[in-house]
Amino acid sequence: MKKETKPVDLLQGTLDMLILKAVSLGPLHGYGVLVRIQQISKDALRIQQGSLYPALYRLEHQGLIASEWGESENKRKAKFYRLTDAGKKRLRAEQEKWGRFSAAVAGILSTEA
Amino acid sequence: MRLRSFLDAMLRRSRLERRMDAEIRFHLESYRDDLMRQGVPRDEAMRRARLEFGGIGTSKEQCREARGLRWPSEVSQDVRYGLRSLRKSPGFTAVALLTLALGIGANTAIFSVLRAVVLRPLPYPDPARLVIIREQDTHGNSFSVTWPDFVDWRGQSRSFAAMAAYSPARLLLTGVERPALLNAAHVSASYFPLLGVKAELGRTFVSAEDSAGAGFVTVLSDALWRSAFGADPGIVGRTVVLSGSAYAVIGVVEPYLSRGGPVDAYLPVGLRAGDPSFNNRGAHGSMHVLARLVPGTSFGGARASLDTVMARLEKQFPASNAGHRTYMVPLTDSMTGELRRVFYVLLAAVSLVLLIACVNVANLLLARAADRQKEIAVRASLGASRGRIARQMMVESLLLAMAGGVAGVACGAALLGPLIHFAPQQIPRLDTVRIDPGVLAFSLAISLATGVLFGLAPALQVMRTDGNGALKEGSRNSTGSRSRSRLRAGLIVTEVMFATVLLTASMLLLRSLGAALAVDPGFRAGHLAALDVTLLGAKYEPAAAGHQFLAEASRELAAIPGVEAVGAAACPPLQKDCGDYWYEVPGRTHFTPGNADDSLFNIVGSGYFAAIGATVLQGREFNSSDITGAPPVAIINETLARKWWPRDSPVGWQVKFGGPGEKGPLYEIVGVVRDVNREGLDAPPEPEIFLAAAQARVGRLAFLVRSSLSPLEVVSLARRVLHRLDKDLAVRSAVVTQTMSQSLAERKFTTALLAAFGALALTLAGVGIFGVIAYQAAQQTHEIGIRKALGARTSDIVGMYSRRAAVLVMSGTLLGVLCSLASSRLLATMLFGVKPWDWLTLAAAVSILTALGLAAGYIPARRAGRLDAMAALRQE
Repeated sequence: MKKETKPVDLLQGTLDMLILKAVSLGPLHGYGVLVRIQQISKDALRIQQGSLYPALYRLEHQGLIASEWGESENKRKAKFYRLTDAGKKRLRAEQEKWGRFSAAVAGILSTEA
Repeated sequence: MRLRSFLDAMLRRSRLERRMDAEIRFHLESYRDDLMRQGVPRDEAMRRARLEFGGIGTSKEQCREARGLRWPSEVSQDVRYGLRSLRKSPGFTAVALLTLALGIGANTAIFSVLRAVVLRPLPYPDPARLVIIREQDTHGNSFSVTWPDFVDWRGQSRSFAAMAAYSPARLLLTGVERPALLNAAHVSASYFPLLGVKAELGRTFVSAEDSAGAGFVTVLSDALWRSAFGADPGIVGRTVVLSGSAYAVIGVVEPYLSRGGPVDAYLPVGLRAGDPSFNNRGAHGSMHVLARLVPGTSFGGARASLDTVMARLEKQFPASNAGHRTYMVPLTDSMTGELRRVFYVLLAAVSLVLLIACVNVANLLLARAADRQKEIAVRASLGASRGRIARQMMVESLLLAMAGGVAGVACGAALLGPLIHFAPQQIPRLDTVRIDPGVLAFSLAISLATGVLFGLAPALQVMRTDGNGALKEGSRNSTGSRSRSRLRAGLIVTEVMFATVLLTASMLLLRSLGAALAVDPGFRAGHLAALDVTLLGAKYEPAAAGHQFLAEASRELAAIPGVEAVGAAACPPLQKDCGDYWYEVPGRTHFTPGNADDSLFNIVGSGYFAAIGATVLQGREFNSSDITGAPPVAIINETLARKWWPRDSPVGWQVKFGGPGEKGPLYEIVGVVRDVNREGLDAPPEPEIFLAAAQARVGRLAFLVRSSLSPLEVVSLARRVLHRLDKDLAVRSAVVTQTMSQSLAERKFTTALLAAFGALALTLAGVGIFGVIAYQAAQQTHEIGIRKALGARTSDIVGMYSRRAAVLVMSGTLLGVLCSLASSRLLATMLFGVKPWDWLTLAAAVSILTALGLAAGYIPARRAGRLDAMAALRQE
């Protein structure tokens, strides 16, 4: 029997980083961001859909992403988000920070007691 | 313009809202389509999409928040919502507004007077650097400066940019339609430039006029120029007759605020500088010194530099200057110091009233918040964050406060008229009291502060309330309501505490006023009129001329039908600013350098004490044989007698006019009289020595006439008599009982204000206690029903609520008593005949508040007790 892994809740503060990563691969609308994160993580992460938009608005307000209205794949009007230069810089910084952080935590956790 | 930007904001806002809606709709529909592709039926797919999205309202709210676009649009939303909700409960709004209007109004009125009279800098250039300088002995008694000392100060100290001498005098203006007694002053040339006062016509004095040989010239005040000379533009160069001598008018000075009341005419100090008594370093007359500190010099440094000069003078002139140092006080303090204390006490009192008003409004708001709990819960579940709701409550409170502020300013403006009308008129600058931008800023600030203060409690409550709980259970018995009750109880305790402090203060002042009114003035004031004349000029140069006038006037005044008695004194009872001087009792007083005894000196005619109804305790009073040539005699008052003759009689002893180093004439003490009130009813008695008029030079004389006639009648008849004797005499008249009551004008004013504030505080506290108990009872209707159903009697329920009221009131009064005791020093100088910690007053204040609190608590308690069990249970 195939063992099913339960999706885990996001760590506090990681949603912003995931959104930045998702839109760094090309402009996406809100729903697209959700779908892409879930695709990449192979459904391992659970995102509160209601908290996605406040996060998008916040990032846009901070100038890390920009938005414009365009047409979706099913020919509907949708708001597309793309990464700005400031966003690219922030994403690199966050990735590096995350790398160090997770390596450190993994190091501690893998130590044999 | 404002409408336009408002519309813009509204339009932009709605566009943003539309786009947000579209974005979320797109999300939900995309998800639905994906689910449908997986085979989920359309309706079910939409349901799941919505469910997984979560609270759409909350999400949108957070989006708005994230964009930072909340303020302009949402605040206007809050304001509109707030106005609507205030309009919906007109009763609450009216009570809250009235409370605030009274509190803010009283503060506005008191502050506007404080600002004009005390806080505003004196109307002189750079007033902070102006000081008054006097001399002082080692005991800290200060007295006037002598001319030679002043000349040395001016010549030897580097700390002062300018120094001016000022010596008051009385002059008789004749040769005009109505002879007038003038308040005059000898001033040095530096006096006007020091105060920044300019001549509006002609010139002021020049420094050559500071020394002997100055011409007979005078500078008139603007007021005298207008009243006596019809504002004659050609006044400069004209000759006026002052006390019998001709003076050339050299100028008219512009109106200005002069210390110690308006002055009519100025003479150069040089006219006196040749006078030997003026040049006597030991003869302290009535000269004040006004000085301006050099910029960068400290007050203490300047004083120290003068004391160095004084130490040098002490070595040089030990006979006159031993132990003398300088006494310096900022001009501002000397002119407004006492008023500052009085007005700060009044401001403290109105602030307490405002705090009490705040507490009451906070209580009203808390009660309202409880009633609105469901409304709040509904808003919370529709996506409003707690912060948002708390802000909404705060906006409502601020709206209320601002409306209260507007009403308060109107109320303050209305109170200002009567306030100024009843204020003692000797308060300087009372005519400049206005509600100006500064006062408005103050009112705005206190309105905002009160809004924040009383709005804080309900807003914090919202932050703490569990919205869902409120929605499910209703408000009854939820934790929110219990902590709200605690908060309200705390507020009531605070309110009662403030009210106790205010009530204690106003009762202490009332008792002081009572004590002052009950003071025995030492004479019978009823049916007594005072007619004040000054004998001036060459005509009265020989002392005998004055004696003759005194004898004739006394005889003729006594001959007026209806007049019972006539007495004459240089300084009648309750007349302030009588001369004091040093004295010695050979064989009794012990001289130590820098510590001479001083006493008031008065000159009275024969039969004076009998005429005014003062008791002669020992010996006799002056009679017709105490005249020039007879042995010089004196009478002393009981305060002086008690000081040096606590066990034996002073009669037969001698007293010397003048301090150590002065030869001074000696007088034999022939009598002791009871203390006659001098500085006002609430002033402590001071030593006083009376000399016989017929043995002295009389200048100023007040005839005290006791009669059965009306005051108006006797004054006009007496005037006629005096003018028959000397047509150039200027006569001032007063009714002694009025003078007596005027001596308490300031005390009455302060007491009346504090009593009004106390009464207001008491009323507000009563309303507050009533409100809290009534509200608790209303909240617990259900509980009361259960208790009654279980057999509780009416008296049990009444007792329960009355006990609660009692606990609140007792705690409040107890804290209030502690606060009163802690702050008693503030009030001490304003009290008379009662100690600030007077237990009787404290007990009375506590009793009054307790009685009021219990009564205010009993009414709602009784209503709760009478509730019918079934009706109470069925409610809701």
